Amino acid sequence: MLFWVYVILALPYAYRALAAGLNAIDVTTLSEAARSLGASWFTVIVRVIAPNMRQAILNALILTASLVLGEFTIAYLLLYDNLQVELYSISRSTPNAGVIFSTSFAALLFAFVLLLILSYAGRLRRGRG
Amino acid sequence: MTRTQDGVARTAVEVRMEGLSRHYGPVVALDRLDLTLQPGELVALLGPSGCGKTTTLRLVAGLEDADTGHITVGGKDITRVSAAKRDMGMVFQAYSLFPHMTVRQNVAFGLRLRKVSGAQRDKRAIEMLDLVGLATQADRYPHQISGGQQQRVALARALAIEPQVLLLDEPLSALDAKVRAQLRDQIRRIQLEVGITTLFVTHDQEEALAIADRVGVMREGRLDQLAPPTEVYSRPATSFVAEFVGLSNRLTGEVRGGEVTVRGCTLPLVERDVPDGQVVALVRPEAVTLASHTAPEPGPLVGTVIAVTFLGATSRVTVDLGDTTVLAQLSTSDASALPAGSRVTLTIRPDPVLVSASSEPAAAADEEA
Repeated sequence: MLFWVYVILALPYAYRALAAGLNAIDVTTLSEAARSLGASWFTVIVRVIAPNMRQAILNALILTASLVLGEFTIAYLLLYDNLQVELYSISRSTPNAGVIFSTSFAALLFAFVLLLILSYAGRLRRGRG
Repeated sequence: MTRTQDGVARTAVEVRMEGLSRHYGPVVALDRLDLTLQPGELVALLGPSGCGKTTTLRLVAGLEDADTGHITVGGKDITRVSAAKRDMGMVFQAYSLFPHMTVRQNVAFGLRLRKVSGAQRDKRAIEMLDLVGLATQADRYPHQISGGQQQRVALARALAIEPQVLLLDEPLSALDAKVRAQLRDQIRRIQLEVGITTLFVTHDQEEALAIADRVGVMREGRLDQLAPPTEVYSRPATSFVAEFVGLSNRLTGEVRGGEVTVRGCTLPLVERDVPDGQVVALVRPEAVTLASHTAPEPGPLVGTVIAVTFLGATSRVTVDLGDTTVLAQLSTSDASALPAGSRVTLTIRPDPVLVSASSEPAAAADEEA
């Protein structure tokens, strides 16, 4: 359930990012060229279109990940436990400020490192071409 | 003969289109086209935009489906075969190289899809790049090479898969004039060397006349004429062809007994069986010569130079004859003696001319006025 809610939430962001990537390349000519060389539609998408949209796909991933990691309201209202809901319940149930501080800090650090890895991975692959 | 990986020679194939039609909604892009390309022949389709030339090529490539008609290649009907299985080498207008692959990977792409082994693939890619003179650029990316080089790579990529037919869709139109002429000649040289049946689409008549074995002039989804370049130029089948290929002066004249009289000059006709009467004759600018005229005596062929356009070795001179203007193409040295304002006498060389018969008098009258 929550998964589908997040799909809907993330869709506009992912769509914008991917659309920008599609607009940046001449999809028609590239796929026609690949088709005339004997590529199936699957091959066209996997070997020709997707590699040229690497940055856009990465952007869509980062946006979606940020959105999902930071989401609290819907998860809480639907009685799901996600990262933010957990953080909230820890802060409500633990009187120890040190624990609250360190869990929040750990969550932030986790999100930061995850996004860093994502964008670094993208840059690496782009560099290779 | 086509060169193949294993050195076995392959004969060029015939491409036959029969009754090919294609509509886009109410617009008829192609109207029952019949066209046969002889094995190893280069046919250029020429025409204004929207005449159906690109549609023809895309139908042969399988990128679009024909509404009616058949395409056979080497005797096999491929009308319903998908683009990926047609074995056509295609070169597009521009930007068709895969940006994320090197030049070598681009050329090898089609071979990779055909499961050719790595070493073979590399050998073949370099061989093809050698053919287009770009072997040294093999490890560059498309954005690192010039537009002309990109088109040569695209040609190498198209030929690497040993296609049965080569399809060129205005491959030179995005290039600047000098590169365009060089690449045009190179394409022709390679096409002859590989011996592949080729369909070349262009809107540039100079290009078509320069490299084709036969030129097909198209208008509104139909072929007006299909003939060798010299014939298209000197014996145009219709007045549309005459006007589209090269420049023509439209001069009113009168047909009598198989000859046409234009402003006092008698000229032979391309078609002998034109009925007597008023016509518009299409006279090539290079058939008009000018002599400067110091003591002007008014006559039908005396006029005033109003403009001289320098074209390099030749110049185009516009002469005002009072009721009409005439273009003359002269060598630049001759034209330099005739600045704007000079009085000149025209001579029309008696080349066979085409006349627009009385079916198009309205348009002709407009032009004269």
